[in-house]
Amino acid sequence: MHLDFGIISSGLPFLWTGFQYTVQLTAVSAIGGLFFGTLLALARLSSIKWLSTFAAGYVNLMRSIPLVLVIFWFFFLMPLVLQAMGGSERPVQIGAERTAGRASNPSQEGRSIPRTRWG
Amino acid sequence: MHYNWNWGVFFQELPGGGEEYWQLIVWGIGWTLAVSACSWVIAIALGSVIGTIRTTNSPWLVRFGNGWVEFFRNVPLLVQMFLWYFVIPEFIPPLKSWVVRTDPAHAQFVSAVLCLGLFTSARIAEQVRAGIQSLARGQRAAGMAIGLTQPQVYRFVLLPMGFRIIIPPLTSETMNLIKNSSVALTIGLAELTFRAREMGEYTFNFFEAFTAATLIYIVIAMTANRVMAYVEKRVAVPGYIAGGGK
Repeated sequence: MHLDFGIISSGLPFLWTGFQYTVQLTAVSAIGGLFFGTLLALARLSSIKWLSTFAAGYVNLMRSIPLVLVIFWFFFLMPLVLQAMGGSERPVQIGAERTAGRASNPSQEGRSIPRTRWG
Repeated sequence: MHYNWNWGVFFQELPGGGEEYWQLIVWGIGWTLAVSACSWVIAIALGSVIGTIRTTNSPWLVRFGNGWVEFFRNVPLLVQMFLWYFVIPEFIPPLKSWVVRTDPAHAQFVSAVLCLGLFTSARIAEQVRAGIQSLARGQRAAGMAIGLTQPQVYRFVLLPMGFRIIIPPLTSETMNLIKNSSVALTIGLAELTFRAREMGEYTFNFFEAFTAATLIYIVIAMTANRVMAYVEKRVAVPGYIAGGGK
């Protein structure tokens, strides 16, 4: 077979955007993971019974289901949760292009994920 | 939040007719378990060998083992899955012609098993190495002193205790392997998560399908956990390490 490694150098700018997104996602999730993970650890050590039970249950649940399934859950559940939180008429669409992607666009800065986009 | 649950959806027929959705999920469980079981065997076998040679005093074996672990641990599982399914057959013409001829499910299954088996073998190798190195130095020396050869020291002294020590991390790794098998959906393998999503797309009852998948994964994880705890209890050496586990 014929390998064309030139495609790597010509595709570098494209790969670079992907790499940036990887780094952003990693940084945000690492900070979030550390923050919520610490809270969960504290909750698990708490002497308040329901709080430590909840934390243990959450940890066991999240550890026993695949990440892919968690992502699907969030992708399909979040529109409804955001709808309920924001009082929107329709489920709020989410996705990389609509949230993280928009946030780096100056004209969209300062706007929350919100209903205005769907009128 | 408002959502109308419709649990009856599992007993609706598929668009093609004949089967009902719950059967789709059951087939998915079958593939998940089959992929997990086959790759677990590969992972344990290779992981034990690689982990063991990393503790020998042959520098080349140690280097090979280290390289193996670094490679398979540092490339994302998803990328490895694509490599096994899309890239490697391109380099091996007989394999390529088999992939083209055979049922896609077979090619996906073989790719997923090899990928997960090798990926997990690197992680198990790390644990086996840690288990062996956590043993008191005197054990190896004592084995040598009574005249055992190096393979005999491993076979009769180091590995039996090393494996007992690493049963808890091996349990986690087994559960990880089962969960990681869901990544095979990206190459089209119709395992549990794939089927749950497919069912959601046909019926728009995503939450029912995902709830079922979530509960099934919990049951599988708990079962794996119980089995490993039982093994740990059965093989515990009295007085050496805390028998049982939780």
